[in-house]
Parts: sequence; C-alpha cells; structure tokens
Amino acid sequence: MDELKNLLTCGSPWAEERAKIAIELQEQFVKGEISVDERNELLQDLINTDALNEEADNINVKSALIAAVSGAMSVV
Amino acid sequence: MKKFLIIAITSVTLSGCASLQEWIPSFWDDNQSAKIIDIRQRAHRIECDTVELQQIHANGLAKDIQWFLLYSESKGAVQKDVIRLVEPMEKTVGDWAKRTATGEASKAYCEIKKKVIKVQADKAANSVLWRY
Repeated sequence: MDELKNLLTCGSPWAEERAKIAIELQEQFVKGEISVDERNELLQDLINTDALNEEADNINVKSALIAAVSGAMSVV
Repeated sequence: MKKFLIIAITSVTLSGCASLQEWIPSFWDDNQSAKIIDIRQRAHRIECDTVELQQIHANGLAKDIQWFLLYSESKGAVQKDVIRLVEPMEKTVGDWAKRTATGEASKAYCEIKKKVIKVQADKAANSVLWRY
C-alpha cells in the first residue's frame, strides 16, 4: 500500500492515475463494498491496461517517426 | 541440397514478411477514429446505479468495441497494432458485461470499472487519432 501511495506523486500522470485506482480498489475491498472476485477482476484489468499502454506508446512512437521522415522528405 | 536451399530461403522470406508487418504501423482511418470516440464517449457516460443500467452500458460498449475489432480485422494485416491496442478493452468490458448478465455487479465495482475503462479509452483514442 505504501508503494502505491509513493506512486501518487511519482510525476507520471499515467502511473499516478492507476495507483489512485488501485488504492481505491483496496479501500473498497477492506470496507466490504466489493467481493474477492470483483477485486481480482479489477486488479487483472489494471494489468491488462499495461498492455494497452505499451501498445499505445508503440503506435505513438511509430507515428512520430513517420511524421518526421515525411517532413524530412518534403524538405529534400 | 537445392530443395533445402529453396525451403530455407522461403522460410526466411516469409518470416521476414511477418516481422515486417508487425513493424509497419496502421495509418489514419476516419471510421476507426469516429468509433474510438464513440467508445470514449460511452466510457465517460457509464452509469452504475442499478445492475440493469450497468448491463445496458456494458453491452453498448461491448458492441462498439466488437465493431472496431471486426472492422480492423477486415481491413487487413497492417491493422494489428490497433487490434492489440483495443483487445485489453474487450476483456475489461467483456468481464463486466458477463457479471451484469448474472446480476453480480456491485455499484462500487462498477464505479472502479468505469475509471479503468475511461483510462483505457482515453489512451486508446489518443493513439488512434494521432496516427499519421
């Protein structure tokens, strides 16, 4: 839990947002508002979000590269 | 020996094409761009008050995600990156839709699910719309 709280101020909006969700998830579970099954599924969702984030970064880098190459070609 | 060389060269060429396809990014597409914003809008408008309401929202989102994936698959091999991008959302929303069908989705669960789906949809929309 302390590690998650440290992430809240790590400077990366993406990580901070997910840490916030993970903390809320744990708090709701402790209060008994969500079941074990629901908690496990939501934790898995956060892990799946990593895969989405990684792919999004790949697409953004490739798009930036293509834009840069196209720009360079139009100058030549 | 000749046969062996032909098989070896063909294998190398084919695997080369496959990895090349992995590298080539997909480009701007009007339909994908519109649909990913539909998905994002639905994510931001999720309501969790009752399981019936949750079910309507979950099924609507699942339908739009399915449309996006089927359209991208039909468009061809160069769409693999956007398919990989949206597949985690299919899983997130699919699990939610299944849970609402059996009436086992609590309001607190839905509120957190909404946050996760919003994060995923915002990120996916950003990448789909920023393509060249």
